[in-house]
Amino acid sequence: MLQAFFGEKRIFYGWFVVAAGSFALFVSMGARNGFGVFINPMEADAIWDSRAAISAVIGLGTLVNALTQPFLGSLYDKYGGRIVISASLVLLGISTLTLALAGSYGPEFSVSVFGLFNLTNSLLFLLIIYSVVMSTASSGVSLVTVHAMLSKWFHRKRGMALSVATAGTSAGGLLLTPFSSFLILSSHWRIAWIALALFVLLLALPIALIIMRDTPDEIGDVPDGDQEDDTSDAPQRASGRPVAAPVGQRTPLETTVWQDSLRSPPFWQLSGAYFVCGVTTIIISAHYVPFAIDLGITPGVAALAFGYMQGLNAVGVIVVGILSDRFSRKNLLGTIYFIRFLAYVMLVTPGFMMMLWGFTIPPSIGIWAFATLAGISWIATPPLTSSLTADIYGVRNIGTLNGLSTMSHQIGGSFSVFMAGVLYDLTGAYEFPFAIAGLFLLGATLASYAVNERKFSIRYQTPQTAAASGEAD
Amino acid sequence: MPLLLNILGHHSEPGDPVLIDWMLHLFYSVVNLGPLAIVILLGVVIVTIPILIMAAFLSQRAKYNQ
Repeated sequence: MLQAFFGEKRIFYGWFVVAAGSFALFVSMGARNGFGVFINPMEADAIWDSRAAISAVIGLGTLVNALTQPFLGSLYDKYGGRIVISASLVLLGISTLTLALAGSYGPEFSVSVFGLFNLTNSLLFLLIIYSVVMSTASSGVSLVTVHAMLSKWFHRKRGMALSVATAGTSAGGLLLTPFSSFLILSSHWRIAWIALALFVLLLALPIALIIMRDTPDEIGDVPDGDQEDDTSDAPQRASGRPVAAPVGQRTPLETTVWQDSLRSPPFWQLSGAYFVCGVTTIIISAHYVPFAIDLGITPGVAALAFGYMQGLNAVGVIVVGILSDRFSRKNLLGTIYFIRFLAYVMLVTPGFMMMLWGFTIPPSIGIWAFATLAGISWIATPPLTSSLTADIYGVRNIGTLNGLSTMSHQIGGSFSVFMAGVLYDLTGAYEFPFAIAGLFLLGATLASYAVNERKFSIRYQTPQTAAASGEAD
Repeated sequence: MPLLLNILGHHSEPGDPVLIDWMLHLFYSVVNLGPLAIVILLGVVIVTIPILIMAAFLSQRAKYNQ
């Protein structure tokens, strides 16, 4: 049937790599993001003593996930995406399966360490399996590695390819989180962990092994499936708009070793802006519920607004990806940060109006305006940041560079959660930390607009600059 | 304690259990099916995705070997 559907048309192999990468992100996101739905039922079974204990497990997991991103990125650069992503899927699947053993499950399932203590019944078990093993494996099946691999498959359509793969993370949260939750309701949380592990090991892993290839060379193809002497970009090049450079062309900042990038402004501009991205996404993620409760918004409206925002994510990221292949990526990235700044303005305006002038605006208006603007911009930044990094620094060290910027994102997120908690305790309101986060976005907007894409990106290099670059070598 | 119990960051941070609970309640009221029916429905959708990817890939594979 599919043969008849596609007819004689040959689909570029890279799109199957996109599909495999997107599905790997889908299950990875679902397995680790879904941990939230397990907290209450596992707590009810007395798997841990207190919320502080599970906060420590999750906090350490976030830290490990942040710090291992550059490491897994460098492994990607050395061994390639197929090996690193497949090995990480194996580790992710086994650790997910192992979580089903957490807590007392009878002597036949318990694991005793030197007869001293029952490992599965201790907090150490969760710290090892979730915080260390699963969080490290998640770094290997992440936007860092998948974006790095796809950057080698796509030059002309890099933005769209990375965006489609990124949408897989959004879909993973949308489908696997409710799946896990309702499976827990209808059976048991151990069954839900097993089901998630089977998705990873029996669905995502075979697809990664069968389909993923690190570069087009491996199947005798070229990026985008184009012919090397393709001249279809000529009109666009003549008009000064960005185009895909010929295969083999180098950029002025192309790195031999990743440390080279640290000496140039674009790396700091992109990583700094991505730090702000982490600040402004994770602060909302962590404090959305208490903020909504403070404003008197009902759980139904708060959940609907958040769900609406999630739905807009996927649309926003794909539209931005398509646009980024036709227009300047740094301008789009700056615009996305500015839209998110406007979203924060909408979020805090009702509260400040009330505090300063006693003027009342229904807070739900702020929430809906925020959900609309933030939804468009929420996950549009990762593909743009990764694409620009590959455009400017080339793909030789792209895994490490993506890992470093993602680590910056995660550190920003952790900082923001802490900052919001402290400022809330001092002021008694979320408007102040959210306003500060919003102001950070103006900095990210300016940093993104200031990236000299025309000078450094491969999309603006002409054959003359390529020749000059070659002579300089 | 909301510390680092996040939902929908870019990098698979665990979700806030309260927010997830609110969203599932909403989902439940909209779909109006029993938990097992929802599990089966979502399970079919999730399993169908890789099946379609593999089917499309296999239908094209011969063309990459040429």
